[in-house]
Amino acid sequence: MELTRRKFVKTTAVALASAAAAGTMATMAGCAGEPAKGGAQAPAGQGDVTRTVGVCRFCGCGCGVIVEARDGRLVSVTGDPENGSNRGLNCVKGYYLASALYGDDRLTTPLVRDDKATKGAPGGLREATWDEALDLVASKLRETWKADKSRLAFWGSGQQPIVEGYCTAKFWKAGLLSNNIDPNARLCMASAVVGFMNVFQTDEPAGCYADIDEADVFVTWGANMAEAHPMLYSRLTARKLADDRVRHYDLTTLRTRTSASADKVLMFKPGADIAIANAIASYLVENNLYDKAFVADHLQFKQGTENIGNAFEDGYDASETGQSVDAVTSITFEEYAARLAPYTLEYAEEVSGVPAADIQELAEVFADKSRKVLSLWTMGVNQHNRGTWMNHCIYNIHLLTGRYARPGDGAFSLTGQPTACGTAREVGTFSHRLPADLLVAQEPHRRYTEAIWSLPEGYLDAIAKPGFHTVKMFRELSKGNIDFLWSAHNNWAVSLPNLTRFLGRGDKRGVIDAFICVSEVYPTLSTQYADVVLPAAMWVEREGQFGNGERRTAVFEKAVDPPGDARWDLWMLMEVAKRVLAGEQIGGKDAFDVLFGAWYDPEAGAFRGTDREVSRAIWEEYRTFSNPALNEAAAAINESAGLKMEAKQLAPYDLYIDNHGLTWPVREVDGEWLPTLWRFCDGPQADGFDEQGVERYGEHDRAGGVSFYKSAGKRPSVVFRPWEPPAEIPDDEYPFYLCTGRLLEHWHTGSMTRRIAELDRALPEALLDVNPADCERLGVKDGDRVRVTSRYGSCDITVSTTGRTAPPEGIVFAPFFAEETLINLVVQDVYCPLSKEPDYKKTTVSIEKI
Amino acid sequence: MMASDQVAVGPRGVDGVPEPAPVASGAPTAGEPVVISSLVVETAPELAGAVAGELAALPGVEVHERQGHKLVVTIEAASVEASHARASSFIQVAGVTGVNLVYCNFEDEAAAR
Repeated sequence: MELTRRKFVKTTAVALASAAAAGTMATMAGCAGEPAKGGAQAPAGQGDVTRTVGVCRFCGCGCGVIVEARDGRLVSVTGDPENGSNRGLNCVKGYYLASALYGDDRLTTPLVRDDKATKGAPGGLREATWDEALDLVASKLRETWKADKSRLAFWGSGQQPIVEGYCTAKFWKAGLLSNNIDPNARLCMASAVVGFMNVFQTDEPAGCYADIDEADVFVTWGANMAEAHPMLYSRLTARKLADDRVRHYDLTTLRTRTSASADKVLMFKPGADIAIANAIASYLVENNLYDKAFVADHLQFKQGTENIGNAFEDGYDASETGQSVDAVTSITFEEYAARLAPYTLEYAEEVSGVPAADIQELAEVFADKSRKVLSLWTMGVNQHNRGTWMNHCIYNIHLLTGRYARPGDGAFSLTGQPTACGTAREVGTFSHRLPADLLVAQEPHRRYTEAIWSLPEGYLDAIAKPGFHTVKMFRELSKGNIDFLWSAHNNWAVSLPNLTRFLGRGDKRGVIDAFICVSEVYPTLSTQYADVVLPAAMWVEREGQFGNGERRTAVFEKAVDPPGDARWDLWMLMEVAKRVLAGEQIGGKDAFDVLFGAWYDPEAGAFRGTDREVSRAIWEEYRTFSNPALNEAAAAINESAGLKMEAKQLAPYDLYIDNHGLTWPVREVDGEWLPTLWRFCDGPQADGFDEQGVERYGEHDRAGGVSFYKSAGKRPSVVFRPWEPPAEIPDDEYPFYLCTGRLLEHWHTGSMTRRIAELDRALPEALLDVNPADCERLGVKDGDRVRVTSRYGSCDITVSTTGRTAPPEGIVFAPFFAEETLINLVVQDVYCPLSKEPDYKKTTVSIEKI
Repeated sequence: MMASDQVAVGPRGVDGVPEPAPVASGAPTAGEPVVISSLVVETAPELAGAVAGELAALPGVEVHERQGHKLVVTIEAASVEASHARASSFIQVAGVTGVNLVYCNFEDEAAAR
């Protein structure tokens, strides 16, 4: 770099960091370079540098970035000061955002496997043309579809951009009339989703990331934010530094980096969190410390089916118990109090191992209305055999104390993936969903969807019954009951539980026999089981959209072309759909044309416009779900069925680019589009409150200044949920609980981050963290190789007593990123009976030195 | 907005934006590839000064500004990997509570590929 250029770049670097530190970055107009396309103040561009707005690819925070490219390659990444989620700051993984595109083994040409016997090992794939690969995929899909459409499936992701997820769901649900589509978000957020729906009848967090800046007390429940949500954790520690009265309570089953900076750690026995939460609620009620006005104005009380057992068997969902798990009945507040009464502090201590005094201290924190309390949680709560129940229990405490939907005072379910909210949940790529929270099982929801998708009335009645959820899908695959599987934006062969079964290493070999198509950017363990691999454009190699955990929708613009013959996933989908639907009709018209003709020309094999124009066109159709006024028939159904679809209003596409992301609902008021930060909280819309929503659907002047207008009767449900034990309890044969999770360096299964040499070197191996006392009993020491065995399978791994986590005796921890270790060979596929989300945290195992 | 005071190398320009300082020891010299990044390093408030001194002593690292408990830092290194390694090492400095990346320019490295 020339010295003058170097000086210029460095001046820019300093100016940007200086402004970011001061929180004034967004106002630095004119400091350096021209605005990015999206209107961004940008870094040090010159000459032929292009500058685009993006969203970080790596985790669930959804941080905005600005990327610069020159000569077809990315040359800089900057935290986007105008994205409200991160305000110009990124975690240090941001160094490698661009590197993720440039691993040496990017997939650049379609691959085909001729011999199924080669599955499960590297090799066996040969290069093919796009036509050959697409013809093969489409013919297998069509053949399966015509023969028995219960035997086809799509497995998607919380990393699939919004319009791609929307089109996939539309193809599967309306084109194939199949509900066998589910995302990997089933593995991380499903319990949160069912919790939201049960309590509030709307799937959304009411709060936003700015809550972190305003809270006085943080309570983390089963969340290692320091490693899994680094930017948000940085915001939490900044809040603590700004005020030494701020406190952080960490509820966890093992010490993590998050525990290390907490003021108090409540270490509980696996699964006992519900007993603790119920004891807190009981203490509040028993001692008259709950918010009576809030209870009277806002809440209803329920209890549900109990003693629901565990989903060990494939037939659980269809069993009498499995069919009854969603049932609830109304009870009085007094009856609710009576259900809580057995949960004394002493009983909770007995169940959880947490001293009664500590539970009482936390209960009194919730009772103290002079301070704002923010609960944050992730996989410890969601990946739980009672994950939905535990979500309920956290809301119960917050609702009883009037701490919900108020700035800094709320319960915030953190998201695991960049667009688990935006695509999996908001678009609805689940087996039971239609777009925008709509359900396949609800007739008005099907009618509404038919109106927007220009389908004949009643057309979607064929999909009134939900399809296979993720575990069911792979259980059926393993038994040989799936003939066609397409997966995209995920690496199921590493991330699924019970891989011993699902990878055919046990007695079930369906994964070998089925035709499997994998869309990918790098070779993974999943591509080793693929019959066809489709090379995909990655991140900013095409335009896309993410919806993050605070309801913020943001666009990442295309910055560079994909390498070789890699193509946009949306193009692959259109080309397969075109082939499968050839000659098919919907309502007497060409089926492909009805579904996708507005943005894809099947004859030309090309989109009708640029990435931007196509994305905009699809978005505008999707946006109609939350803007019924755009479609006369939909508006009539919305009105007659009382759907309130506009309550989640989304804005026109370009506004998301111009504004570097907006949090929904984005209300149109006198021609202006105004975002909402604090949902259901009355106050000026211009300040981020939900003035328009409360005015239109809710009530002013209710307790706490909130109005839950999306809930039935405007009253969220406090549902009593009992403590029931984990699916497995340690015994002589399997004396340890195995907990798995994510660590800072590696995103999920490491398919991107392990291509980055420095991240790989920083965390090259998955280690088994073991308590030193357990090591002594087992006769193993740091660095020893051991075999971990469960009822499901076994794997070999290296022991560490100085690892990233410090488990108590009886618990061991391993991260799941490493395919050479493949800890998920060991992990149970038991799931929460309500959400169908697997419990990755409590498999019982034995450990032996090898 | 917190008070801003300069704690290390780099005179302030007339518009208040610090001028870049001369290249620190250990950083790439002219003609070699250089990756330039800037960060906001958060510290325990009482240790901000000590942290600034310690960081500024690291090769390729300059501390340009202190804003309360936040330090404005640049790293010049020969590669993204080296930059990341340097930034990742900050957390081991006593008093550092958070390391936030703001900007990373790797145009030399991109050109070299």
